[in-house]
Amino acid sequence: MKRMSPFNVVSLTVGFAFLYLPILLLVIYSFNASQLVTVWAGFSTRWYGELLQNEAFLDAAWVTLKVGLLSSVVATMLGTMAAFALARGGRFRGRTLFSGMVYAPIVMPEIITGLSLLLLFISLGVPRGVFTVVLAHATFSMCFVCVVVSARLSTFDRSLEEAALDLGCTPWDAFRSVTLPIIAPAVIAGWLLAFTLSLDDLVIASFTTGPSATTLPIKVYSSIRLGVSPEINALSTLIIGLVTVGILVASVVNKGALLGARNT
Amino acid sequence: MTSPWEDSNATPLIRIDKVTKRFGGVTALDGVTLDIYPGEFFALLGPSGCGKTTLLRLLGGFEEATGGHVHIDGRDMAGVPPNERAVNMMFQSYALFPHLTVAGNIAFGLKRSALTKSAIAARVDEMLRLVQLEDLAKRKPHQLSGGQRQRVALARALAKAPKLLLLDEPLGALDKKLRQQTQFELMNIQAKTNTTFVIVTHDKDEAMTMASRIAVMDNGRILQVDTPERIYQSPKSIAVASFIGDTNILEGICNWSDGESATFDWTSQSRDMTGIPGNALAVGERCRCVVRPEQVVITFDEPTDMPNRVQGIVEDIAYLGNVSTYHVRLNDGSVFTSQSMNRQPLSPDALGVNRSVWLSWPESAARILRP
Repeated sequence: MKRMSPFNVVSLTVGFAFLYLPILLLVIYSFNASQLVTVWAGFSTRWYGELLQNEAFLDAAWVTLKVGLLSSVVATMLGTMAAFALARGGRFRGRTLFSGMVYAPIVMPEIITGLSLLLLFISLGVPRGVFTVVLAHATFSMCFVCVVVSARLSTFDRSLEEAALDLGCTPWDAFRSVTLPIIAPAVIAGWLLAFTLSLDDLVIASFTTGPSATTLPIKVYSSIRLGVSPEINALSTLIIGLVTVGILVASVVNKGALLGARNT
Repeated sequence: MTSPWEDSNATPLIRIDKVTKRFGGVTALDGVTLDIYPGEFFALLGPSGCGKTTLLRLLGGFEEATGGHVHIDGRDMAGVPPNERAVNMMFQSYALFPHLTVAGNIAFGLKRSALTKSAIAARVDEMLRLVQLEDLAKRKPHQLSGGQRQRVALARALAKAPKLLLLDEPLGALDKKLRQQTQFELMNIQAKTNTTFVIVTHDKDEAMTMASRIAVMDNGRILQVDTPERIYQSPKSIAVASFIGDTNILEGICNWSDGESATFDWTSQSRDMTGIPGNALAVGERCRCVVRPEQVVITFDEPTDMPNRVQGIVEDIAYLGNVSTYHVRLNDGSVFTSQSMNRQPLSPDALGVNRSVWLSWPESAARILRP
């Protein structure tokens, strides 16, 4: 391998420091024994223990998990269906419009998505709570699922499905026993992505939630306004760990999917 | 034994009756009528875009005819989906299921039939033996070579013992040497399983080697349906003659014909030539005559006993080992091709470039056709 030039070494170091130093600092201070966030007083796991005693945080964590699981499942189903419609629908009327609209929420400012959903829920008279947050999260994360699954479908050999039909499958059986197993890695990657997006969303959740359902990011944000407690650091470290694992698994699974695609 | 296509009492397995297929404004098939008999190895031959694959997909149930009827085994196939047809297809890309093993691929269709588990296992073993892949049953498709994948695809398509097997360019992805070897394997398997094969190919040698009959197609129409020998020796049109092998084409005007043989005035040489009329020809009608290069004999002296002869100068010689191809320039500037076997080692002074030679061919070697 070619040796990196000093310039590259420096820019890489600075870049990574810029990205990860704040996170690293947060992780380190989550193990701080002191009550004061910015004064180091020795290593301790005390705040992790206190976090587990905090009913409000645990409730919020449970709500977040529930919202994440439900919305990611809904998003995966809708996103996969949309991807199929785009990949297989041929040149139906309004295809370009439809594909543009599926991708729009990715670039739409979250605050607008949140606001418009809030207006919709109010005008329909839907009481805000877990249900509305699940709907809102499913709405924006299905676009990401659609992108991931579309990419896989674009390299999918249609004759595999025809072969399944030819060997006696009904169209549904062909989808279940041939198409789905082959695109499964992309669907799983899309689901993990949707789940992770739901976990750390603050803006859309705060617009669409009600008093009964406080998600973890909302809880963290409101506690911060009263001052940063070391408990928040511990909680954030846990969330970082969870999200990192989720993204790592998603990329490993998706890499497998790409390798699989190359072998067909 | 008479061939089924010559026997008026034989019932065809496939009846294709005035079938038309249009994709939007494009006509892929234009009034195709064709009978295929049980046990045939039938080849659909033509350049790409001639409609041969569309015809095959119509038989498999992947396309619906715009007009006309397809009968398989006496049943009208209109509206019958692929999974309800006693027909299997081997796809050009092989379409092996990447998530299943070789055995799993072969068992896939059997699992969707009424067979018991042990019967399926026995049938899978039988198919693996047929294509000589017993040792690779547990491999995944991506661990196989191209030739092995081709055989898995064949075994999978034959596993349900279909009445009719459709093969879409089955040897297209193999290299030349493997292709020739596989041609004979396919013929053996066809004979052993006594299945009717319909194969799509653009390779005339492949069709000539394997097929009992060939349908030559172009622009969505069938130009001629015949045995390989008849397609080669008695083409019914210039298009068929020039698609099947190299040929010399002479232009002229017919001046005598009794149906069995005919003569024409070769325009560029102003000579009367004889040949066998491939179509009904009227005297005074413009015609073309095809002569295969290997039928043309080269001599130094004028062969006065041959009715068809012409003089020219050797322009170049392509030595191919077993045969040599001679390009001879005639006095009107056109180039005539002659090909002969090299039975003895060639001596350099025997037939060199720039020598004046005579070309001749018997009446039976010349087919006179409408232009």
